[in-house]
Amino acid sequence: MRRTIIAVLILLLFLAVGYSLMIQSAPVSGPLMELCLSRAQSDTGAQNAVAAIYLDYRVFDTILEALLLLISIIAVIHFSRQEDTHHEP
Amino acid sequence: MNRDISPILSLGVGLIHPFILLFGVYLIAGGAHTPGGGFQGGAVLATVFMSRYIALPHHPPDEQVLQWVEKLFFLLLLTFASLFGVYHLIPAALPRTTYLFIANLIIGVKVCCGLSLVFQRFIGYESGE
Repeated sequence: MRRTIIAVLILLLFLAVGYSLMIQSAPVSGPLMELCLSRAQSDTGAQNAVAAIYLDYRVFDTILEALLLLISIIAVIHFSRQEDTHHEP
Repeated sequence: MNRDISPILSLGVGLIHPFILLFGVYLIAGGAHTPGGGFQGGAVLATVFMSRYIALPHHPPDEQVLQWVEKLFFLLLLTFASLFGVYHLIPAALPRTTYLFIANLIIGVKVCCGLSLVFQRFIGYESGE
């Protein structure tokens, strides 16, 4: 019963957040977007503006994202081995 | 662990392997020009290891090798991207599209190794390795 109430509350929270985001309607164009689209190919040589952003304009973000993946994989390996040894006896 | 593998299953997996590989390499190689990129292509390449488990569950890939390759490729990405992407060194030696291709390739191999490692660890954990 308590779990059901919590689940319903969380669902309502999701719906409220989604509704508020829908009302606000994020901007689909802006000065930054037009700058990226118009200058991506001449700046970076990439026809795909997404590649221009994640490999050139925001390359630190990509490096740290790869680091994040590496660390999470190390954590998965570590915890899966630890759990095994604890359950053994 | 004496599960018999259906020949239909292993044959089917063997048949779709080249297409998965081709699709993953296409996503990585075309990352600079078409939708796709290193992360997506690497995730597709990782499904090769996952479907390999269906066909050959008793011959898992070596986890140590996968770990070493992943760490090595992270270091490669770090040096390559910081030399070329951040500081824009050696601009004449390497055209920009080559930089994008090599960076996508490094990210793809790294993500492929990482996701296959996670999959292998989950398999090992579930079977009480």
